[in-house]
Amino acid sequence: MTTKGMLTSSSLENPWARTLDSLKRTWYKFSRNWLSVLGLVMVVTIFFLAVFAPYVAPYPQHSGKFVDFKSKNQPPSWQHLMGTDTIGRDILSRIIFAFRNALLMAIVVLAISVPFGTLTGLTAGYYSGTWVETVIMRVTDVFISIPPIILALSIAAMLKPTLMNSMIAVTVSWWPWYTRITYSLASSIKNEYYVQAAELTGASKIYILFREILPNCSSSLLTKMALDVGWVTLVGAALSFVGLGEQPPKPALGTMIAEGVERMPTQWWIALFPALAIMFVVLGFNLFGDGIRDALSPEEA
Amino acid sequence: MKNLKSLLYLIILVALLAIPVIGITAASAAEHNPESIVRWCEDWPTYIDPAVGTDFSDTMAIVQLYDTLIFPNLDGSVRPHVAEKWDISDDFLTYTFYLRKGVKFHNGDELTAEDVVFSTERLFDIGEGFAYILQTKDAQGKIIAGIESVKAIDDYTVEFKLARPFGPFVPALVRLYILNKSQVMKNIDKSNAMYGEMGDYGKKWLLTNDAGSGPYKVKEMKMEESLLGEKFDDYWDGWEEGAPDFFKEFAFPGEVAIRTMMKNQELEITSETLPMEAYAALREIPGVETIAYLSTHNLQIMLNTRVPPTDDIHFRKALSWAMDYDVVVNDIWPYYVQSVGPVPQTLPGHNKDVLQYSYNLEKAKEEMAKSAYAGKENIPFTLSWCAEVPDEEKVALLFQVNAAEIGIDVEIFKKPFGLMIDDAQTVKTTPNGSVVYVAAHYNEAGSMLDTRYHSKSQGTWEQCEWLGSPNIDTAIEVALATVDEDERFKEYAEIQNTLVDLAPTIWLADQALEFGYQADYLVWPLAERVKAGKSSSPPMGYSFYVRDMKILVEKKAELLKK
Repeated sequence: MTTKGMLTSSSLENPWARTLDSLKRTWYKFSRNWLSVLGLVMVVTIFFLAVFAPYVAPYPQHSGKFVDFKSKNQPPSWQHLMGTDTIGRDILSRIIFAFRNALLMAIVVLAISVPFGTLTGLTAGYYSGTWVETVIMRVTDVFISIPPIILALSIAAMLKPTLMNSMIAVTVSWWPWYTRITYSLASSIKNEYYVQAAELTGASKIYILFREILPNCSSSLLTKMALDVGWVTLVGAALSFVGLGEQPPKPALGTMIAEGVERMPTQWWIALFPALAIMFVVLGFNLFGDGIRDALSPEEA
Repeated sequence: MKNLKSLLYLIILVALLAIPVIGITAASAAEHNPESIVRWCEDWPTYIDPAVGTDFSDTMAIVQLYDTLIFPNLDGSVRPHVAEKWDISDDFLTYTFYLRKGVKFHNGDELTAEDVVFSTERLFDIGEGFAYILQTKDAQGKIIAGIESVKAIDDYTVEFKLARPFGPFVPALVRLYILNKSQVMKNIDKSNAMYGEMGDYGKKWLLTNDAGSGPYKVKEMKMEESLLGEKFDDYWDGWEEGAPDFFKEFAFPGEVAIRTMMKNQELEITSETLPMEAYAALREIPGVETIAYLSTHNLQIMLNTRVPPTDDIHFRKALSWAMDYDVVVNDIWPYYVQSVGPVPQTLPGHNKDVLQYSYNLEKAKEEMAKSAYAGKENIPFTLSWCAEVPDEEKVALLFQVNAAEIGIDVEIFKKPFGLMIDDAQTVKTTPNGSVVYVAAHYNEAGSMLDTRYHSKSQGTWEQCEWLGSPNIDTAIEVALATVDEDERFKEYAEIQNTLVDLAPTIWLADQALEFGYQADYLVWPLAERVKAGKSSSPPMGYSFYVRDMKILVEKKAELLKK
């Protein structure tokens, strides 16, 4: 590891070089497993397709108000790489547009449940043994005791079926897991010497929570977040499969599968490709999440 | 003495030997072959009580369990049934029916005029089911049309007095099912005083039992699941060789399951609501054929005429001109035909000369310009379609595309039929548009007009328009009261013109019912007729009259071996 020594010495002089150095090290740990790199490629692909959907989808108009019964149920061909559905719409285009909503859902759900879950978890962990912990963790337990899919289903069924409401439903069932994970980490980290030292020097509670404890939880949280993008997509697809997500004609992966299932096995492409698309998302983010865990793990290999 | 003892032993011995023999003969008379069964999967019948049930799956079961005074032929006419003949008074207000003797109920009681009187009164007291066809009350509860009173002259003569002449009275009697009075009275739940001293009028008991004299009786009724009916051996009109011993009607299991069941001979007739791709797949199964025939049902988008923007007549006309009907009848349902006005073309009294809307964007835009929404864009519009009929989504999506061409933003809702029924109960909850199939209840245009556009059906799924027009109400009442058929049909025709001009509905198509069935071992009179090219439009439910079908049991076993 001669290069490593060289980088370290140069990093002493230049803070940018130091950052670069740590990034390189992270990348090294990440890329040691080719599956992680594959996961990264998949994730980048999904984001690229979702962001540039109107430009990359062969038939962007097929994702909205569109019917063409003359070209329905066509098997995969050069015109339609994944075939057409019962309405005559290009399945590939619809999958690409469905990625948009799938990612939007994952991002919104995580953007709400991660800060909320982390904050409650940190507080409960730091004040473990007091009534604060009891209140927060028992409420969390109540939510965790209900299987997320059932909770999400019942919330989504009560509200009007829209993408927004299915996001709310999934968020409600998602935050407790972040509370739980942060709580368990925080309640052990708070006994570390550096936390006690900070307390003794008179650091504020806010400082201790966010500058001493939280950074030490971040690797677990980031890994979980990466994995969760896939899982949220899956739950979102389950909701739309039963008609509780994005409403037609806007594409949703679950809805597309539900439509296609009835056409199996003769028109297999209608259900198969959206199903593979879900698999692609879940697998991609799982491999990527594994990579992040490896990269951020403190122990040297 | 000894001889006497021997004789006694001999008698006992003979008696002992005889018991099993008698047992066997008795059993064989009642023994029905479980293989001789006709099964279909429209839905489980929610109400087999003829004073309550009205929909397709209900009537499919009720026609097997109960008898009526007259019977509908497959060509749309009627013939005497439990009533051998009838007289009509000169003022067309009194109908006297003479009943057949020896008609037995399933429990062995004889059917008499008293039972007819009871069944009529029960229907009106409960006021659900098909009551509205046979009697109309005004807001004060006064009977203004239909049957005013009924009485038994003697055991086999029953007399109906009408409030005013009712042209199609005799055909409408296909919806007066006869129950066994004494059996129902024995099963009344007195703890529920919903109908005064009649308690619950036997409603609870009749959810899972029958009190009829029809060719089949309830063998097993599983709520939310299925009805198994068994042949009634003592049916008054006798039985032909090969008539099915059982029928079973059960909940829609899904398209894929239907195909598998047809393949395995676990299902004889499919439901009629499958997408066209499914019928194509069914035709591939050996021994399975599909038939399609124009029915007395039509498919439409009902427009709520009391809420914006569909309260505007020009807006509604614009929509009627914007719909691409050809796609509906060519690409979505190839056997359907475009509707000509509000009445299905197979019904006597249909007016073929009414204006027929077509896909014409210029006219649509012209009408739009006359409406209060001229020049506006993205006008919000809510549309519900029935989750149980997957192909309705295609219509909804087509409508959405068509409406967008004239600046309307349609939001689509997939709703289970039960929720659509709930939504239809108030003006506010009824969406702008509802994709709905409606069937005529008896074979005349008047049935359709009365059900669809008379104010009395507001608040039910059969009228999501909330038309509430006193003029149309009166016109319908007058037409139904007209005894002379030509005269009556002229009045029907005029009402149809008025309605088309109001455009409360987008009449899409007359429904062709398409069924897959086991042509190799099921003889189905309706299918034979259709295949012979004859038109066939029995009232709802009668296309499945099991007594006239035949199961070729041996052929079936042979096919199964292959």
